[in-house]
Amino acid sequence: MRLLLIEDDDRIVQFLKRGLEAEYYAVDVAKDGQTGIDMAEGVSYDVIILDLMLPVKGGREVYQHLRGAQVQTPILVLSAVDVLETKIQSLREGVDDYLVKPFSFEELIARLQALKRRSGKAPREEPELLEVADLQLNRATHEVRRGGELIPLTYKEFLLLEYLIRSPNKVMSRAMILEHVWGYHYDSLTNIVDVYIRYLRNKVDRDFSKKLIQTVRGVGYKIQP
Amino acid sequence: MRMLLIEDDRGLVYFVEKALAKQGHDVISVNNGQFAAKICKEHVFDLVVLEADLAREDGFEVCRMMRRQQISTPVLMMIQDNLPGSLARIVEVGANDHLLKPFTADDMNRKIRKSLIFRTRIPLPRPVHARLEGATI
Repeated sequence: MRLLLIEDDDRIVQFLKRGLEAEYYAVDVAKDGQTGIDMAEGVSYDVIILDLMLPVKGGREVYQHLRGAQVQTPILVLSAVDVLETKIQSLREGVDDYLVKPFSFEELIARLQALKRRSGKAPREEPELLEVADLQLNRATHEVRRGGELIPLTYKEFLLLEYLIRSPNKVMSRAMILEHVWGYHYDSLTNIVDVYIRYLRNKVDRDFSKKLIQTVRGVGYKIQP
Repeated sequence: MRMLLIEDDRGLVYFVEKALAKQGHDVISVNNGQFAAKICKEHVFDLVVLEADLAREDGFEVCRMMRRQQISTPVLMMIQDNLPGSLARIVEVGANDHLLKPFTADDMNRKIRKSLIFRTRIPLPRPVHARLEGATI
């Protein structure tokens, strides 16, 4: 499940990112409103967590812009503003849920799950079960199976496979994978993507004649039925 | 063994990666300390091989920052000189050993073997004895 966190407070970002990743969310972070808008319009997220007091563009401007642009991703506002009028205004103007800081992390997770459940039948929603050939990835149970056999994956391996399998045949560059799976944006000289592709191949492809994970030389990787 | 290489010189990255892979080690390489510290918390490494003279940051400070973040993996630092100042800094920032540049693959493998041997010398917990109905386990 892919989530966009639009929040400028580093401590909250670190706390939420760590906790959400432990719950198998892939978390992208935007530290100001305009970046949040750009990311939300460019990528299909399962849910957006939005702070109201943000630099460049405030949270209200962000959700108004997104709803105006027909981006229907569920939005949960996470705000220190505990004012009834603000809550009502936000919910009326297109926000799906509103949680006041300080908050319980367990409550946040429960609310995210409820949002996902409510939007479960929306046409934009991706299915829980993603399949390519005989490879299945269940986003709800975090189980991966090939030919019916359960394949245990680490957290990062799961995120990497999910990223590839949600867009079969589409080439994902190393930079895109690095940013999505490791949340790393800098121009980085690293082989970590290639190393993890190798780990994944050892688990997903090695014992099968049909190899699903393909290298696109000089570009990146794709999964192909 | 799983190793983390922190180096920003492409040529040296290539050389070290190849040499370590040839010895059967699994190598993840990164070019900066911030990313290194991040992945050290997500992966278990047997050894960190760290460049002291990174272009955009001080490798010694990278080691100090990793120790501050409770990353206890042994660190082998690649250094330009073995003057007393550099050797003192290795100890000061919490690195375990150094590898003087330029080095050959054999030099590096020797140092790595030494670092890994030291790593296995961590005292093991003493055996626990329990008695259960007269039997000793």
